[in-house]
Amino acid sequence: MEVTQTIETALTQGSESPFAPNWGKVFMWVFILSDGLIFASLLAAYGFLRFTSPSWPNRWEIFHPHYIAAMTILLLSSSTTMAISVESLKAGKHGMARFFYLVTFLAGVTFLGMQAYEWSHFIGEGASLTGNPWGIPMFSALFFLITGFHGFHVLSGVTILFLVGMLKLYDKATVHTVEMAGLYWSFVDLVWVFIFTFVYLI
Amino acid sequence: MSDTTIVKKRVFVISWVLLMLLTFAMLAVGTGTAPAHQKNVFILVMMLAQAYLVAFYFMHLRFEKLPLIVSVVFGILLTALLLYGVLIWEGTRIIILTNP
Repeated sequence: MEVTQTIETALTQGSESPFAPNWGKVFMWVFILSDGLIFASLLAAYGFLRFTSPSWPNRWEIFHPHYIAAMTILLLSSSTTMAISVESLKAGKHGMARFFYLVTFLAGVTFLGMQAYEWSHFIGEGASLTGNPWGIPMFSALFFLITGFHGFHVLSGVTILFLVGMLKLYDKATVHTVEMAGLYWSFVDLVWVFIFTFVYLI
Repeated sequence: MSDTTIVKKRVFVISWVLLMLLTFAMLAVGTGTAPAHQKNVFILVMMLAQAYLVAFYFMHLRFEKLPLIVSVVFGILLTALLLYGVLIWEGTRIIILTNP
Protein backbone atom coordinates (compact mmCIF):
# COMPACT_ATOMS: atom_id res chain seq x y z
CA MET A 1 0.00 0.00 0.00
CA GLU A 2 2.79 2.35 1.03
CA VAL A 3 4.81 1.48 -2.08
CA THR A 4 1.84 2.16 -4.34
CA GLN A 5 1.33 5.48 -2.66
CA THR A 6 5.02 6.39 -3.10
CA ILE A 7 4.87 5.53 -6.80
CA GLU A 8 1.68 7.52 -7.21
CA THR A 9 3.25 10.51 -5.45
CA ALA A 10 6.33 10.19 -7.67
CA LEU A 11 4.21 10.06 -10.82
CA THR A 12 1.94 12.92 -9.92
CA GLN A 13 4.25 15.25 -8.03
CA GLY A 14 7.61 14.41 -9.56
CA SER A 15 10.39 12.64 -7.74
CA GLU A 16 14.01 13.12 -6.82
CA SER A 17 16.51 13.32 -9.66
CA PRO A 18 18.35 10.02 -10.28
CA PHE A 19 21.56 12.02 -9.85
CA ALA A 20 20.50 13.04 -6.31
CA PRO A 21 21.18 16.78 -6.56
CA ASN A 22 18.37 19.06 -7.65
CA TRP A 23 17.52 19.32 -11.33
CA GLY A 24 18.95 22.83 -11.54
CA LYS A 25 22.39 21.51 -10.70
CA VAL A 26 22.12 18.58 -13.10
CA PHE A 27 21.19 20.92 -15.94
CA MET A 28 24.02 23.29 -15.00
CA TRP A 29 26.35 20.29 -15.40
CA VAL A 30 24.78 19.50 -18.79
CA PHE A 31 25.42 23.10 -19.84
CA ILE A 32 29.01 22.95 -18.53
CA LEU A 33 29.69 19.74 -20.44
CA SER A 34 28.39 21.14 -23.72
CA ASP A 35 30.25 24.42 -23.22
CA GLY A 36 33.36 22.46 -22.28
CA LEU A 37 33.17 20.61 -25.57
CA ILE A 38 33.19 23.91 -27.48
CA PHE A 39 36.44 24.78 -25.71
CA ALA A 40 37.74 21.26 -26.37
CA SER A 41 37.09 21.67 -30.10
CA LEU A 42 38.78 25.08 -30.12
CA LEU A 43 41.85 23.67 -28.38
CA ALA A 44 41.82 20.63 -30.69
CA ALA A 45 41.80 22.99 -33.68
CA TYR A 46 44.65 24.98 -32.07
CA GLY A 47 46.68 21.80 -31.54
CA PHE A 48 46.10 20.56 -35.04
CA LEU A 49 46.92 23.86 -36.77
CA ARG A 50 49.96 24.37 -34.60
CA PHE A 51 51.48 20.96 -35.21
CA THR A 52 50.86 21.15 -38.96
CA SER A 53 52.50 24.57 -39.06
CA PRO A 54 56.22 24.49 -39.98
CA SER A 55 57.09 26.81 -37.08
CA TRP A 56 55.40 28.53 -34.16
CA PRO A 57 56.44 31.70 -32.29
CA ASN A 58 58.08 31.39 -28.89
CA ARG A 59 55.34 32.69 -26.57
CA TRP A 60 57.79 33.89 -23.91
CA GLU A 61 59.28 36.36 -26.37
CA ILE A 62 55.80 37.88 -26.74
CA PHE A 63 54.09 37.45 -23.35
CA HIS A 64 55.57 37.98 -19.92
CA PRO A 65 55.53 34.64 -18.02
CA HIS A 66 55.04 36.25 -14.61
CA TYR A 67 52.10 38.26 -15.86
CA ILE A 68 50.36 35.16 -17.23
CA ALA A 69 51.17 33.30 -13.99
CA ALA A 70 49.61 36.16 -12.00
CA MET A 71 46.43 35.87 -14.10
CA THR A 72 46.35 32.12 -13.44
CA ILE A 73 46.92 32.54 -9.70
CA LEU A 74 44.19 35.17 -9.56
CA LEU A 75 41.62 32.94 -11.26
CA LEU A 76 42.53 29.84 -9.24
CA SER A 77 42.34 31.87 -6.03
CA SER A 78 38.94 33.27 -7.02
CA SER A 79 37.62 29.71 -7.42
CA THR A 80 38.85 28.96 -3.91
CA THR A 81 37.13 32.00 -2.43
CA MET A 82 33.93 31.17 -4.33
CA ALA A 83 33.90 27.61 -2.98
CA ILE A 84 34.49 28.90 0.57
CA SER A 85 31.70 31.44 0.09
CA VAL A 86 29.20 28.74 -0.96
CA GLU A 87 30.14 26.46 1.92
CA SER A 88 29.97 29.36 4.42
CA LEU A 89 26.49 30.18 3.15
CA LYS A 90 25.42 26.56 3.61
CA ALA A 91 26.78 26.64 7.15
CA GLY A 92 24.83 29.82 7.86
CA LYS A 93 27.94 32.02 8.19
CA HIS A 94 26.51 34.90 6.17
CA GLY A 95 29.21 37.48 6.95
CA MET A 96 32.02 35.21 5.81
CA ALA A 97 30.04 34.13 2.74
CA ARG A 98 29.50 37.76 1.74
CA PHE A 99 33.19 38.64 2.21
CA PHE A 100 34.51 35.75 0.08
CA TYR A 101 31.82 36.36 -2.55
CA LEU A 102 32.94 39.97 -2.87
CA VAL A 103 36.60 38.90 -3.12
CA THR A 104 35.63 36.48 -5.93
CA PHE A 105 33.80 39.21 -7.80
CA LEU A 106 36.72 41.65 -7.47
CA ALA A 107 39.18 38.97 -8.60
CA GLY A 108 37.02 38.36 -11.69
CA VAL A 109 36.95 42.06 -12.55
CA THR A 110 40.74 42.30 -12.03
CA PHE A 111 41.29 39.28 -14.31
CA LEU A 112 39.26 40.99 -17.04
CA GLY A 113 41.34 44.14 -16.65
CA MET A 114 44.56 42.13 -16.88
CA GLN A 115 43.34 40.37 -19.99
CA ALA A 116 42.39 43.69 -21.59
CA TYR A 117 45.92 44.97 -20.87
CA GLU A 118 47.46 41.80 -22.32
CA TRP A 119 45.37 42.14 -25.48
CA SER A 120 46.28 45.83 -25.88
CA HIS A 121 49.97 44.93 -25.48
CA PHE A 122 49.62 42.14 -28.08
CA ILE A 123 47.73 44.39 -30.52
CA GLY A 124 50.31 47.12 -29.92
CA GLU A 125 53.00 44.75 -31.16
CA GLY A 126 51.12 44.43 -34.45
CA ALA A 127 48.98 41.32 -33.89
CA SER A 128 45.53 41.11 -35.44
CA LEU A 129 43.04 38.44 -36.54
CA THR A 130 44.56 38.36 -40.01
CA GLY A 131 48.29 38.74 -39.37
CA ASN A 132 51.17 39.42 -36.98
CA PRO A 133 54.87 40.31 -37.06
CA TRP A 134 55.89 36.69 -36.36
CA GLY A 135 54.74 35.56 -39.81
CA ILE A 136 52.16 32.94 -38.78
CA PRO A 137 48.69 34.55 -39.07
CA MET A 138 47.02 31.53 -37.43
CA PHE A 139 48.93 32.19 -34.21
CA SER A 140 47.28 35.52 -33.41
CA ALA A 141 43.90 34.49 -34.89
CA LEU A 142 43.72 31.44 -32.61
CA PHE A 143 45.03 33.41 -29.66
CA PHE A 144 42.29 36.05 -30.01
CA LEU A 145 39.61 33.43 -30.66
CA ILE A 146 40.42 31.19 -27.68
CA THR A 147 41.31 33.83 -25.08
CA GLY A 148 38.48 36.05 -26.36
CA PHE A 149 35.93 33.26 -25.99
CA HIS A 150 37.23 32.56 -22.51
CA GLY A 151 37.22 36.28 -21.67
CA PHE A 152 33.58 36.40 -22.74
CA HIS A 153 32.88 33.60 -20.25
CA VAL A 154 34.69 35.51 -17.50
CA LEU A 155 32.60 38.59 -18.33
CA SER A 156 29.43 36.46 -18.19
CA GLY A 157 30.63 34.98 -14.89
CA VAL A 158 31.26 38.41 -13.38
CA THR A 159 27.80 39.56 -14.56
CA ILE A 160 26.18 36.44 -13.06
CA LEU A 161 28.06 36.98 -9.79
CA PHE A 162 26.87 40.59 -9.70
CA LEU A 163 23.23 39.70 -10.42
CA VAL A 164 23.12 36.77 -7.98
CA GLY A 165 24.86 38.93 -5.35
CA MET A 166 22.22 41.62 -5.78
CA LEU A 167 19.39 39.06 -5.59
CA LYS A 168 20.91 37.50 -2.46
CA LEU A 169 21.26 40.91 -0.87
CA TYR A 170 17.48 41.35 -1.15
CA ASP A 171 16.83 37.71 -0.12
CA LYS A 172 15.59 36.79 -3.60
CA ALA A 173 18.25 34.13 -4.22
CA THR A 174 18.57 30.76 -2.49
CA VAL A 175 21.75 28.90 -1.52
CA HIS A 176 21.23 26.79 -4.67
CA THR A 177 21.31 29.90 -6.87
CA VAL A 178 24.65 30.94 -5.34
CA GLU A 179 25.92 27.37 -5.74
CA MET A 180 25.01 27.41 -9.46
CA ALA A 181 26.89 30.69 -9.88
CA GLY A 182 29.87 29.10 -8.09
CA LEU A 183 29.75 26.05 -10.32
CA TYR A 184 29.87 28.23 -13.43
CA TRP A 185 32.69 30.34 -12.00
CA SER A 186 34.83 27.26 -11.24
CA PHE A 187 34.17 26.01 -14.77
CA VAL A 188 35.59 29.25 -16.17
CA ASP A 189 38.65 28.62 -13.99
CA LEU A 190 38.89 25.00 -15.15
CA VAL A 191 38.94 26.10 -18.79
CA TRP A 192 41.72 28.59 -18.03
CA VAL A 193 43.89 25.72 -16.70
CA PHE A 194 43.75 24.17 -20.19
CA ILE A 195 44.28 27.49 -22.00
CA PHE A 196 47.26 28.32 -19.76
CA THR A 197 48.80 24.97 -20.65
CA PHE A 198 48.12 24.70 -24.37
CA VAL A 199 48.27 28.33 -25.50
CA TYR A 200 51.09 29.60 -23.27
CA LEU A 201 53.16 26.76 -21.86
CA ILE A 202 53.41 23.97 -24.42
CA MET B 1 27.61 17.77 -3.83
CA SER B 2 24.73 16.14 -2.24
CA ASP B 3 22.91 19.27 -1.29
CA THR B 4 23.29 18.89 2.46
CA THR B 5 27.04 18.17 2.58
CA ILE B 6 29.19 20.99 3.92
CA VAL B 7 32.86 20.83 2.98
CA LYS B 8 35.37 22.17 5.50
CA LYS B 9 37.28 25.33 4.57
CA ARG B 10 40.54 23.47 5.21
CA VAL B 11 39.86 21.23 2.18
CA PHE B 12 39.72 24.28 -0.11
CA VAL B 13 42.80 25.87 1.44
CA ILE B 14 44.82 22.67 0.91
CA SER B 15 43.55 22.46 -2.69
CA TRP B 16 44.55 26.09 -3.24
CA VAL B 17 48.08 25.49 -1.87
CA LEU B 18 48.48 22.47 -4.16
CA LEU B 19 47.20 24.49 -7.13
CA MET B 20 49.73 27.23 -6.45
CA LEU B 21 52.58 24.71 -6.20
CA LEU B 22 51.48 23.10 -9.46
CA THR B 23 51.26 26.49 -11.20
CA PHE B 24 54.79 27.46 -10.12
CA ALA B 25 56.12 24.04 -11.15
CA MET B 26 54.46 24.30 -14.56
CA LEU B 27 55.82 27.79 -15.08
CA ALA B 28 59.33 26.80 -14.04
CA VAL B 29 59.32 23.84 -16.41
CA GLY B 30 57.58 25.74 -19.23
CA THR B 31 60.15 28.54 -19.23
CA GLY B 32 63.07 26.17 -18.56
CA THR B 33 65.52 24.58 -20.95
CA ALA B 34 64.59 20.87 -20.70
CA PRO B 35 63.90 18.95 -23.96
CA ALA B 36 60.45 19.81 -25.38
CA HIS B 37 58.91 16.34 -25.12
CA GLN B 38 59.96 15.97 -21.46
CA LYS B 39 58.63 19.42 -20.67
CA ASN B 40 55.33 18.69 -22.39
CA VAL B 41 54.73 15.40 -20.58
CA PHE B 42 55.47 17.01 -17.22
CA ILE B 43 53.25 20.02 -17.92
CA LEU B 44 50.37 17.83 -19.15
CA VAL B 45 50.49 15.69 -16.00
CA MET B 46 50.51 18.85 -13.84
CA MET B 47 47.61 20.27 -15.88
CA LEU B 48 45.53 17.12 -15.27
CA ALA B 49 46.29 17.35 -11.55
CA GLN B 50 45.12 20.97 -11.55
CA ALA B 51 41.97 20.09 -13.50
CA TYR B 52 41.26 17.28 -11.02
CA LEU B 53 41.54 19.62 -8.05
CA VAL B 54 39.30 22.28 -9.60
CA ALA B 55 36.63 19.85 -10.87
CA PHE B 56 36.56 17.47 -7.91
CA TYR B 57 36.90 19.96 -5.05
CA PHE B 58 35.89 23.46 -6.20
CA MET B 59 33.11 22.14 -8.44
CA HIS B 60 32.27 19.63 -5.68
CA LEU B 61 32.29 16.63 -8.02
CA ARG B 62 34.14 14.64 -5.35
CA PHE B 63 31.11 14.87 -3.08
CA GLU B 64 28.44 14.12 -5.68
CA LYS B 65 26.66 10.82 -6.22
CA LEU B 66 28.44 8.27 -8.41
CA PRO B 67 26.03 8.47 -11.42
CA LEU B 68 26.72 12.19 -11.78
CA ILE B 69 30.50 11.75 -11.43
CA VAL B 70 30.52 8.98 -14.04
CA SER B 71 28.30 10.98 -16.42
CA VAL B 72 30.50 14.07 -16.17
CA VAL B 73 33.91 12.40 -16.28
CA PHE B 74 33.16 9.83 -18.98
CA GLY B 75 30.79 12.15 -20.85
CA ILE B 76 33.40 14.82 -21.34
CA LEU B 77 36.42 12.51 -21.63
CA LEU B 78 34.93 10.20 -24.25
CA THR B 79 33.42 13.01 -26.28
CA ALA B 80 36.61 15.07 -26.16
CA LEU B 81 38.71 12.06 -27.17
CA LEU B 82 36.35 11.33 -30.05
CA LEU B 83 36.46 14.96 -31.08
CA TYR B 84 40.27 15.07 -30.97
CA GLY B 85 40.54 11.71 -32.74
CA VAL B 86 38.17 12.59 -35.58
CA LEU B 87 39.58 16.08 -36.03
CA ILE B 88 43.20 14.96 -36.13
CA TRP B 89 42.48 11.96 -38.39
CA GLU B 90 40.33 14.01 -40.78
CA GLY B 91 42.74 16.96 -40.77
CA THR B 92 45.75 14.75 -41.50
CA ARG B 93 43.84 13.06 -44.33
CA ILE B 94 43.01 16.43 -45.90
CA ILE B 95 46.66 17.52 -45.71
CA ILE B 96 47.80 14.26 -47.35
CA LEU B 97 45.15 14.58 -50.08
CA THR B 98 46.00 18.21 -50.85
CA ASN B 99 49.80 17.68 -50.73
CA PRO B 100 50.37 14.35 -52.50
